[in-house]
Amino acid sequence: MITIRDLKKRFRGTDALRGVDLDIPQGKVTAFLGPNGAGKTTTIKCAMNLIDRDAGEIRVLDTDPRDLKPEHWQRIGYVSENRLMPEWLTVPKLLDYVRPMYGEFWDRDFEKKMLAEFDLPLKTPLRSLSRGQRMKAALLSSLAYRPQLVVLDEPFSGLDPLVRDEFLTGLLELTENEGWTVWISSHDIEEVERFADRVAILNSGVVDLQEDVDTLQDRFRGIELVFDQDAVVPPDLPKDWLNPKAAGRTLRFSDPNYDESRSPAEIARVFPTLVRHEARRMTLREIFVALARSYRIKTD
Amino acid sequence: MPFSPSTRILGIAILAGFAMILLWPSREVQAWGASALFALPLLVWLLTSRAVRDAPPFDDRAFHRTLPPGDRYAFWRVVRFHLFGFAGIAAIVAAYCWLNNLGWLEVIWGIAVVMIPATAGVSVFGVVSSLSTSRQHWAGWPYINIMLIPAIPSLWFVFRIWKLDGMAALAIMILACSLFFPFIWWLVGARGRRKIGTILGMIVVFICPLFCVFLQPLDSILQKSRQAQKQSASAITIRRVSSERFEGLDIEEANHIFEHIEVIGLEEDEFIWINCIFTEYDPKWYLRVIPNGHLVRVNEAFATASDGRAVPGSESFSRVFSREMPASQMLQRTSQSHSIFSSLLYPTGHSINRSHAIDQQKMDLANGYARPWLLSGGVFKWRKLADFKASDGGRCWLPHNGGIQVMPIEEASEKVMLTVYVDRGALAPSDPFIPLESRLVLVAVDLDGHAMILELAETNYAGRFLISRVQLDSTGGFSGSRSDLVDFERLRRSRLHVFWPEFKGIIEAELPVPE
Repeated sequence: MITIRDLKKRFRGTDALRGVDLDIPQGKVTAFLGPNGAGKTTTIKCAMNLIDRDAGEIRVLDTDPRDLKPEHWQRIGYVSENRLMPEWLTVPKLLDYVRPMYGEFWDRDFEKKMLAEFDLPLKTPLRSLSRGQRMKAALLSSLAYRPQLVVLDEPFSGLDPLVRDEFLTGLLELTENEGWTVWISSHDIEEVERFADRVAILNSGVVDLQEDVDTLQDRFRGIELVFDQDAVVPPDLPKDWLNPKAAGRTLRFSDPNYDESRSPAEIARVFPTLVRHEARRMTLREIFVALARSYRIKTD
Repeated sequence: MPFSPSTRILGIAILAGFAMILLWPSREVQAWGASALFALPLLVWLLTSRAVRDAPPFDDRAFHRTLPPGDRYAFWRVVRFHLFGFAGIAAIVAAYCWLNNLGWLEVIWGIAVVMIPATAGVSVFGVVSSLSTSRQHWAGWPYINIMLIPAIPSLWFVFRIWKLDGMAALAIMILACSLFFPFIWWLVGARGRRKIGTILGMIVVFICPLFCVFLQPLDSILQKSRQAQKQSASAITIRRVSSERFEGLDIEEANHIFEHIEVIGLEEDEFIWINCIFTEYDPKWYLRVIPNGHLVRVNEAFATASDGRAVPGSESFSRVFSREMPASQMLQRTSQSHSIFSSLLYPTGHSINRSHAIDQQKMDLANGYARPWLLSGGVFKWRKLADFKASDGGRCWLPHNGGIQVMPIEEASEKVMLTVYVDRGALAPSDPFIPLESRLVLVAVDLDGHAMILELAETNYAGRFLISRVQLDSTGGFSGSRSDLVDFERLRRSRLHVFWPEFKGIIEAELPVPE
């Protein structure tokens, strides 16, 4: 659905994107993660033709974003937390304004359903709504036409947990039932984990990894080693073991390539005095934190 | 993107303000409004900036940019918004012209006069506002270039190098901007064309002054075309009928020159207004006879048909007057006993042209008499336009174009004041033979039937009023003592009859020296 190759972008002499390669496959929910300033929003804006790219190639719906036509935009739903909404409009007026642009694609029943679920005030201008309510209005105006490609840039900002849960459940249903492709950038990794099929992690303007969540969680393990005496981090630790940290008689690290048939023997070889070890399946959040911490260490 | 309420309110406020300035039936409000029009560029800038910012074409956060219609639709909405505004202004101009008896020519001209600067301003501001909505490009240089360069070095270039008239150069540059910048705005208004639009905008501001140079001759072409529209009164013939020689006449006696010409072909109520030039141009002699360019003043006079003989001055007027209103008999009988009226009254036979303005320098007409005379002027016909109570004032239309507004006569300290406004379209046929203030004749007829001609003692040219209107503010200040107040009351109760000479055509004649 979206293909990005060697995308580069500079802002006033600073490299924001240094060659992003990314694939957003059709019918899947791809979570776009990365530390602050990694370039997630810049990547999305380049893909949505909101800012110019300096180099690289982007294909959205098999089209260069610069050539996206109205019929393409009728299949794309874009919501961003910092989007400038026409704040002088009420929600019904906003919907009245955008509805004709989507013609037959606009689903009035779906609009009504979401309007009821979001419980938005109908007579209040957007400027007087809370941040979460404004985000709901933006989601409503961008999803009521059942877009094939949904691009969400930090969509959960300000949403209360209940609405967030309802929204995600609904989005999950639509993704499964209607084959929506969702590209979602979020800091709320726990929420993303619930429905993301794939994850792409951006670091310092480069996509560090992108793969299915299941595969990622299958290979990532949080390793905890217990010793008789105080643990010490050996200098010759394998380089792919992330963030080793000793605390008392315990040493913990993350193994991004854990293999049940091979890894225990490798751990026993590196730590011959090991009393016991435990390999725990990591959540997406833990994986992200482990990776983010390792990026920071590399940078330092 | 729909426009915000503040943008809509500003647009409506500009239209309403413009309508008030033009259509409000108060000259004070109009004068105030005309002064306030200097703020119009600021308001236009504000409106355009707001309209563009409601749907900023280059802001990566703009709501409309990921909607199906895209950037271009937003641009057209902004343009359409302005076009609605322009349509409103055009309607106001048309209404103004209709209310003031101005023709279609004035409507078109008025709309052009307003629209061209507005289009130029809106487009330039539109380009700059559009560029300024980009958060990823620093567009400072284009702003400085597009906004400031035309105002400083380019104009200096035009004024100093080509020595052009400042206003003409400015007008031509505004015209050039109104032609180029809408196109540049169209280029800049959508993202794919922004770069080329910006570059072109920066180039055009350098080119614009050159148009001032190349289009300068256009003005003279327009002048010629306007002069060509004058109709010729070919039915009139003028001859020299006297061989009497003038010797040592002073300038006051110059009007007697009309006793030596014969005018044939004038119809009833018609008269001619002639400037007489002694031909076979001799600079030395010419300068003596026509000092300080007072030619028009020196030789102007009324004349009308009288048994084939030209009759100068107000005699001609009184003839017309006698036919058109019964009060003329009263005019003949008006005596000097009415003190206040006496200062207002022209005795019959007295010339009503402005003798006080005539240079008193002696001139040698004998020398002039020995040369052919070249007469040029116009044929006019008296028309009574209206009559109304002096205490109420009133308004009436001029033939073909414009109108006259006579304010209620009033007493101010030691004076009797009568203010008259003559409103003419700037494109009304130019007939410069009679000074505008000399044309209007007001005759007051009191309840007893006494008639008097009210001299308009002071005239002020109020200038153009925005949309091609020439406004003449003629104020009559009549001296009168306290004891004359009772007479003022009588004057206040009288009726004012308004006369206006309708221009019929130009007249030119070369009169050889009689044999």
